[in-house]
Amino acid sequence: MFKNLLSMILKEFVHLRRDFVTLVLAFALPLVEVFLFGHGISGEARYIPLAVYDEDATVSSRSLVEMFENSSFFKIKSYTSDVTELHDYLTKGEVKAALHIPKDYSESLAVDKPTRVQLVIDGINPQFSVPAVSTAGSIEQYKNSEMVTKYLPLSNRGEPGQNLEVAPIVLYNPEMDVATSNFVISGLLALILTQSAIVLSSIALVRERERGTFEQLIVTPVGKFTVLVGKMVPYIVISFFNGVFVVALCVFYFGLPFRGSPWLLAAESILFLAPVLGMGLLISTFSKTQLQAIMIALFAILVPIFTTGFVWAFETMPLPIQLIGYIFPMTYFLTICRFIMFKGVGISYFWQENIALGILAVIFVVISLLRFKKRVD
Amino acid sequence: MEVAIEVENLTKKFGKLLAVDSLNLTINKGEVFGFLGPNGSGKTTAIRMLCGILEPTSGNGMVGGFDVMKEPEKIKCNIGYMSQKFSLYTDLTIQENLDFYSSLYGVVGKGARERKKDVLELVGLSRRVKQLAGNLSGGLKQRLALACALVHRPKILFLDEPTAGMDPVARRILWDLLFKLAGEGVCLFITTHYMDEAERCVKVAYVYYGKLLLSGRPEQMKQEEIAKTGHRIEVMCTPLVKGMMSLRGLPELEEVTIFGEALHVKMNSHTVQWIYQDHGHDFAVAAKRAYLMSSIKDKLERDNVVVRSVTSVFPTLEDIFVSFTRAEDAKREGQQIQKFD
Repeated sequence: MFKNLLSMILKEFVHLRRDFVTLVLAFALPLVEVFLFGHGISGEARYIPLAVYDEDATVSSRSLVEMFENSSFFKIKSYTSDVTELHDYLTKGEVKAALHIPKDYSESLAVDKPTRVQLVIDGINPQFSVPAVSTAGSIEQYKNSEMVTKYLPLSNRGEPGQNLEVAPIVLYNPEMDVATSNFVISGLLALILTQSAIVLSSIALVRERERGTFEQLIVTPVGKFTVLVGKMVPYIVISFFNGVFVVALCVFYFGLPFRGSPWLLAAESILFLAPVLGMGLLISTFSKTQLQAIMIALFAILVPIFTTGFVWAFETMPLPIQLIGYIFPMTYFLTICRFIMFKGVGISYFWQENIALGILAVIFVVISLLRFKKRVD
Repeated sequence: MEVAIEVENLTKKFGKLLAVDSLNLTINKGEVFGFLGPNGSGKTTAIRMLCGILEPTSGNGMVGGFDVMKEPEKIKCNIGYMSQKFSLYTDLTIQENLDFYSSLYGVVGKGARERKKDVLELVGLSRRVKQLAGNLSGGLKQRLALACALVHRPKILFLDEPTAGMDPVARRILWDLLFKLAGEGVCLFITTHYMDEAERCVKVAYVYYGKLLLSGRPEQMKQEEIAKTGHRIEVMCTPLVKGMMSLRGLPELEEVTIFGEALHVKMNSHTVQWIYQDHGHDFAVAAKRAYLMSSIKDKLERDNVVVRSVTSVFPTLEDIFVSFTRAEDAKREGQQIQKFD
């Protein structure tokens, strides 16, 4: 069995070596794409998920919270009454911003004393952090001028007050570098891995069919699993090296921060490749020709770009789009690699994503195995 | 005699199309079995079912001791298969193709290198191991395919039109190889269009529209054909075409065709009845046949055709297949007419 598998793998490598053009394209296209994406994309988000800790809990503090909600840039996802919990929401990525209103908020304002509301923003995605900071600024300004007309005696009305300060702090990516959007670049690893893995694997089986070599292959006692896995391994290797190039470019050329463990990212990349290749093989079992397989593969690359939070943040997408996103491994891997690169956190922060990737891998490979018959039709 | 292949009522339907219709076959070990039939008659479909790569719709059978319906993977360990189209990897070398297939068949370890050397020697490709398979000529490609199909010492070898498109020399080389294998006890199951190849087989079967019309040993088939339709008469004459037109006017004959440099003549059923059956005496048969032959000669000479010889010959396999095909066609037409009534 192992010897079988080994020769299956070696054979696929020989095919790749003899097909020089494909091999060059497999490595060159991803690099070109990194440059194109890295220099070209920026965007803006709405409905940033917000966690609120309103320690004051008065009419006046609630009206401030309402202002955040009505701005349409924020959407309140959870209320809490604990600072550590508030912080947790943010590190786990459940919300992208956290608002803390101090206990003396309304009291200070009533007596014309300065008070400070803290807005902590997750800076990984500048599409969130940039509007979040500016919205905080507008809210501060508006509230201050409103207070002048509402609370202060007529005689004192003149210039807008300065008592309320909404202080934004941006974590993880304080520069909020929009020009070379770190957010999109950080997702390139996911895109490149998807692309090289899915295109190469989707033609793996159908190429044998189209060249007429399939019949000779299936008339041997070789196992289905050996054929499928043997065809996957070479593409894992190629895709993995592509991934290493992409990360190196991101860090050394685009100057992205890399706070987590590179080894963890490498391991996660390989985990990610399993469902992606499974998807490719599944495409291969459905296609009659290589052209067909590539067309479907193209679709399987384009759809996740729009549905998984590669360009636009996943959290702000409408539910139907999110549902589509859930079946693409990229959704989970994007979170994982951004967490590792920007937050520098470990596996305990994204174990759910790991499980999701594992489940998808099993689903795709099992369906491929069921669909792949050692028969001619 | 040990049985290598035995199938009963093996049937394959593709939608409404009946590709193979209740095929019954028994082939012994070490036999060279010729599977014949026109294009689209279901030969490849049948061979694929026997090899376990196409699921039969119904029927049952054993190939190499394993069940066609239930144990296709076990069958695959014991057979070699050469498909109609070259189906090895053109971008791999001869050695790489052979290494790959020997490993898939579990031919590994110490004996493997020896075995691979032997099969390459056998097919005469030892000196070209580093050549890409795609660059080989048609004949050499088939020999490489044979090497890959043989590497695991299969008991049964299936060859689907192995000599299609080959030049005569390459064909001869391949057939010599095949007989060598048969001599070693390998059962060969060969489909072909070439009648001279069919004549070389120990046993032949003829399929038409997915149905087995006849099967057996060529000699035996010829005897049965003589009993039914008589000997064929071969006429050497010039000019050939004029001779053919002339004989087609003779009421005792059913068919006159050009066969190389001679005319091949089949008598009609009344004549056969008159010669062979009315008085079953050998002498009477010979005398009546001689009478028919002289009347053929007379007719030709009356029509100014120069006759060199008129001889009585055995029907060829082609004659037999053609007459069975005609009979089947007539039957089918009859059924069609019945349907319209």
